[in-house]
Amino acid sequence: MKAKHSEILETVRSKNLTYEQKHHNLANIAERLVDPIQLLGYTDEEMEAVDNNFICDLNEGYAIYRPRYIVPDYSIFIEKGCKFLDLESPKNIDELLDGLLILYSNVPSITSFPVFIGNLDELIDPFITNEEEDYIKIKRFLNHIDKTISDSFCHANIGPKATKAGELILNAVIELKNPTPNMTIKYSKEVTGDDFAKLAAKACLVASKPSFANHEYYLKDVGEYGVASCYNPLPMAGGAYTLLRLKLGTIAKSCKSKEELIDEKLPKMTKHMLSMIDKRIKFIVEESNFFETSFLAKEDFIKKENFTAMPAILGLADAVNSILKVEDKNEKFGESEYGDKIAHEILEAIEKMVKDHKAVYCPRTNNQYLFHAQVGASLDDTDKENTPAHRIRVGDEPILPLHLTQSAQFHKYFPAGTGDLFALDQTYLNNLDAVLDIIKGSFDKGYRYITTYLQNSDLIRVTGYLVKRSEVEKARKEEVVLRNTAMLGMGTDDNSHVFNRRTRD
Amino acid sequence: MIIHMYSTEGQEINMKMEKSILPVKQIIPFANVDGKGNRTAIFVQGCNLNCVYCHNPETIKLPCAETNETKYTLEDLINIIKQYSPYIRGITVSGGEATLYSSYITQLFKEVKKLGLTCYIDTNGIFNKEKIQDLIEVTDKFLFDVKGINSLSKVTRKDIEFSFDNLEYLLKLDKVEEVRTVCIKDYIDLKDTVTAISNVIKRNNNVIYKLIRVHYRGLKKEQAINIKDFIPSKKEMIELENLAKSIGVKNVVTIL
Repeated sequence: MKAKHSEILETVRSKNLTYEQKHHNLANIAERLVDPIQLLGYTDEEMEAVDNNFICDLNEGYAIYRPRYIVPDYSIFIEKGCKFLDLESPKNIDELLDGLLILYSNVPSITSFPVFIGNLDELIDPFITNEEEDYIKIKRFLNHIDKTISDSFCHANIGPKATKAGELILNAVIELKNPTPNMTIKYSKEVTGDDFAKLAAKACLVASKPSFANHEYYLKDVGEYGVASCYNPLPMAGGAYTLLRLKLGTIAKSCKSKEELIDEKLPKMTKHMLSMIDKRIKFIVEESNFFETSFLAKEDFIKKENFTAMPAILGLADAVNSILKVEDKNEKFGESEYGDKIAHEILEAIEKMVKDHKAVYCPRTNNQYLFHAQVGASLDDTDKENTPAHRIRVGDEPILPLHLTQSAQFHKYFPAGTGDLFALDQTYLNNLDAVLDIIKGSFDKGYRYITTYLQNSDLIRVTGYLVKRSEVEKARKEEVVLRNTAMLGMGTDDNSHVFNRRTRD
Repeated sequence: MIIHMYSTEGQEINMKMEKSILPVKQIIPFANVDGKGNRTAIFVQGCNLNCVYCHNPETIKLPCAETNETKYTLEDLINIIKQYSPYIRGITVSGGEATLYSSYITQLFKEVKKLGLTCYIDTNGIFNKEKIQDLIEVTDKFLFDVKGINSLSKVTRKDIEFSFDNLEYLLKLDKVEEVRTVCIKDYIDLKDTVTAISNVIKRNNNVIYKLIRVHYRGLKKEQAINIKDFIPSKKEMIELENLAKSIGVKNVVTIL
């Protein structure tokens, strides 16, 4: 969405933003003041789709000067150090952790914070010499990240192999209970041992992370990958240039029949989305000079050819409910077989167009963009009519096994990431095998990504990122909070009541 | 058809009931306190005991007009379990008292095993082991509730005796995952019970001995008054735990 001049002073005068948040917002407003029709060559029709909220660009901006998600290969630092930052390759754990923190403050992304901070256990494990001392260092390192990268989209990876460093990281996560960094364990039935997986499951219950990624599945679809931001598996030493999303709920509301939606509106909107993605990428690659100026590219932390882009959807539940309503069916997405059929028709239609489209500057992903199920945001009122990704609306959820099976059938469409989350009750802490059974079962059924948390914990997963309930309450009272994600969390809870997901007992 | 169910040694309960129908009070799709891992728990209607602290008192009465349970054919139950099967490692039949329906459950377990799932029975230990041989054979593990070791009529309100024989028999077959005692004072001699049971199970390293402090949360008033003055203190519970450990039980879990 384009910005208005008035947003500048509104931001400056805001009573509930920190200095840093104002600074970021002002930069974002500047990017959105530039007219995309003139600069990027958007057509009037494309711009109209954005203005009508059929397509959402998540306020990415138009004068684009860095890719949305950057997934650096941090092992380069261990191997060669970093010339630009004048860092030698680390000789011990102190130099490693220090060096990584320095690198993080030089890794851009859409949020201006790094959205991927590495396969931490793999990076740290060779440097472990003294378990007790190193645990304290790792804890301090993670806590430093939480307080300086004030944005929960910052994502660390561990696994699939169990390591001493991985164990220390998980124990520190359990002790700290911080929102940042977000974390994923790449889980493989063959490689990840049950003990390591159970420690991860325990951390997931008490600290809401790590989430579990189906490692083999993503490896097959994406190749070497890092999970960044919410839950997005992106090519290692690359990332994603941009993400645009179709607001299926809003699009379907404007349609009088299933046919109008699937045969007319969706093809039109998907075409617009893909065309805008092409234009955005061309600008980043051909005009912004990002790859020419970034030391990350010069020193091989990233390579231009490893980037892809993410056409996405959200609001599948609302779109299906909308069609069920115009067809006078008294059913709801989540417990309607016919509803699931409509959902497949919608996704197949978009998926085919995404696969058939010749992507620009994406050799690593076979000149294709990767389809993504996007979680919510709270930018405007239409977010109320667009449930995250292909999730069932909070309140309409069936019992857990049926919920898992319903959701599993849609994961196959989304190589660039999807995931579902479930609140469990306290008793699961005494039976981590049971948590692991649910995770293994969901992966067998086709799940790509799953996460869980205890309904009563302060730390809670909103859509893909973590916030503290207590911080959100502060934001509600218009107090200043450290993390902008606490404010996003407030908006999303107001829209979709994610704090009250059905608890499973 | 009349089916024969057995309560205490040899004592028969004859009931008019279709052999192919299981009276079920409740199915919990994902249960995590009824054996290792995630399990579907099936609570049958009807028990041969009437324990003062029972937390499912509505399942005690044998099936009759008022008990209002759901009657499942084997096929019904298998279809339900199939829906849950990707996410569970097995099923546990609890109750009520599962062994009352041994012939049905034997058939059920044979079918459930074809789905690659394990089959557990949660029992109060009051059964005639000769009469339920087939069931024991197809059951992977028992969760074995020991109400006490002597003068059980006070706590179970039935004239029965504890059978060491049943417990030892199942232990020898390595078919016991957990032994459980709900600790209530005066109704049973707690120290005698914990001592005797610990001596029996200490040789089986994997068996968990679960000591549960009796509580009346969620019980009706008329039931709660029988319990509230007989709850062991935390200290007494820890003493029982230490007693079991000192005898040589490796795996004691105390639930306060």
